[in-house]
Amino acid sequence: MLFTPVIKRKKGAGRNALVPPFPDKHAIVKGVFTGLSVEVYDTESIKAIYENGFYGKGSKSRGAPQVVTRNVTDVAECLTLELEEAAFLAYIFGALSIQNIENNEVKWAEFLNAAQTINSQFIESFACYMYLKSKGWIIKSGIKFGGNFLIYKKGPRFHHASFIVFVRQKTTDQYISTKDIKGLQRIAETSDKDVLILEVSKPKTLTFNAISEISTLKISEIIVRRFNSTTFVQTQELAK
Amino acid sequence: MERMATNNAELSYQSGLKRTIAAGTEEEELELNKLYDYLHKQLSISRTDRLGGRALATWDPNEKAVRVLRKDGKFGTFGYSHGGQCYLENFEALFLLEMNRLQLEYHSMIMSVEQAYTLLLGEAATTKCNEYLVYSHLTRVGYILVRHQNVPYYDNIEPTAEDCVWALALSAINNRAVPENLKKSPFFAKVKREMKVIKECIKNQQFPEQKQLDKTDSGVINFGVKVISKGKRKILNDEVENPTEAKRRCLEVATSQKSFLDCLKDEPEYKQFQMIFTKFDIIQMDDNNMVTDDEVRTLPITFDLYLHNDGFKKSTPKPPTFRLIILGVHEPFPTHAEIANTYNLQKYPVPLLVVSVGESKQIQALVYYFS
Repeated sequence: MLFTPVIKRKKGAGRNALVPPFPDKHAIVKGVFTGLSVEVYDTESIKAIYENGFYGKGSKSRGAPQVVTRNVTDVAECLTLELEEAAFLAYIFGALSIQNIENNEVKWAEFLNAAQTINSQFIESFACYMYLKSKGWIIKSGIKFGGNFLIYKKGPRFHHASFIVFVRQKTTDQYISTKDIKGLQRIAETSDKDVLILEVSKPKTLTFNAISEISTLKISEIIVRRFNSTTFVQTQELAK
Repeated sequence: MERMATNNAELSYQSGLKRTIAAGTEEEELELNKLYDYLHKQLSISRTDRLGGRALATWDPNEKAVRVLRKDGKFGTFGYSHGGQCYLENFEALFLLEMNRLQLEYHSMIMSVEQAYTLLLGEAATTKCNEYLVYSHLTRVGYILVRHQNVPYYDNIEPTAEDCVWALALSAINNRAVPENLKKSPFFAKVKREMKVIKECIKNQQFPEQKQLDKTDSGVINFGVKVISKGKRKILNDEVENPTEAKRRCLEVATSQKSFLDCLKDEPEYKQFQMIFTKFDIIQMDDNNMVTDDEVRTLPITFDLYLHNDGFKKSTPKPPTFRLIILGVHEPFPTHAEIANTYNLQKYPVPLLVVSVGESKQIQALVYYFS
């Protein structure tokens, strides 16, 4: 059985518009680490970050900030970046400088420490973020579908998400229960997506003092699809 | 007529509002007694059946299996022969019994369905019950299920030159062992030599037409834009002529160590920023060839699944369409390593279906695609 990903185009989206997946590297944007996420306040910066790769979410919007959607500037809305997004933009790409509330710059080690207290699986999900990003997917939070990420081709404005990504540590003794997978799969199927489980294996002793050490992590992919036995047997009969 | 009347009466008891009578009250007892009466009435209606209209089988205590004494009608895909006798697997016997196609005897006494359940599935809680549920469900839907046999499918046929090519290609791509009887084939040495020559030609780019062929091969894995929008794979010309080859190729794609997520690499966005993207490509896919030190649970494969119109023959079975792994209610979901391990243990790799039996005995099958 051959696997083809479901990529569904959204109605009314421009076809040929080329959206750059990365912001301008030379204009470094300031973001403030609040302890939960990284927030960008400046209107121009919000535009620059969101319109080039769909990073973050408007703090008072469902998705894109109102500065982008309605082109109004008088809203007191900031752009909230997920921890993985912020880490990518700041420490890998270099278009963001993360500061704490006292305006001091947050270094990688410090950020990692804080991020791991919020999400104990931060290293794994950051590795998955990098893995997906390097393959050209646009990654958003998957919390509303019960997964870690949602991944889009080109961006949420143009396509529906193709996968619900579920990040899992390979070494843990805890297995995912079959019931949970079935639940996740049901949600995915009703919204025309697939469940993608990424298993992250990491070396046993690792400190992550430098960000480059993340390359020691390895990822394997599983995609789970429901097998409709009745439809399958009937279509096979027709095919012959 | 009488039967219909009782049916209707029963229906009126089954439908309607939810009963909200408190447990242990007199009212509840009355209600329950009424229901028991209806059930009793329903079950005590004498059924008429043609005498000898069913197959006859007996429990063979020596073999601990069901031996067929008399067949009735087409026995089709059921049963296996052993020592000149036809035997039925436990689940087959139970299925036929439930379908009222079999009369099962135990020391020349006719067994009831209930007795057969305890005899054939055992009293202790085992996986047999789940296996039977899956078997009966999928058989009713229209598949042929056979107990799993882990055999390479070259034994029954004389291997052709084509088989040698495939076996060699598989050993080169996936490090899979070449079957013994293929090595003995008269074609093997010749094919091996030829393939070496072709490989050299491709490497040195001597024959452009050979290279073209190679391209179409890799095209199967390449998820182009057109392919996606149609939801179907473009059928290559040689596949139309040669359906078995298409099937084999599908199998190989299912196992090849490619990422499922590489399909965006042909997009203009990716191309334009390729430099930056490749710079970030620091996390690689697990190559799985490394044997992990943790022990991996081996998932037992229970059934081989065939389609009815695939020319299934009990005596000379072809490779199955799928193989089934049955998961109980509380069994954890198989991990990548487990599924890959089980897959590679097959002598003739076939896609695996994971069938889970839910708490309410609901059966759901899942297809696995793994990198």
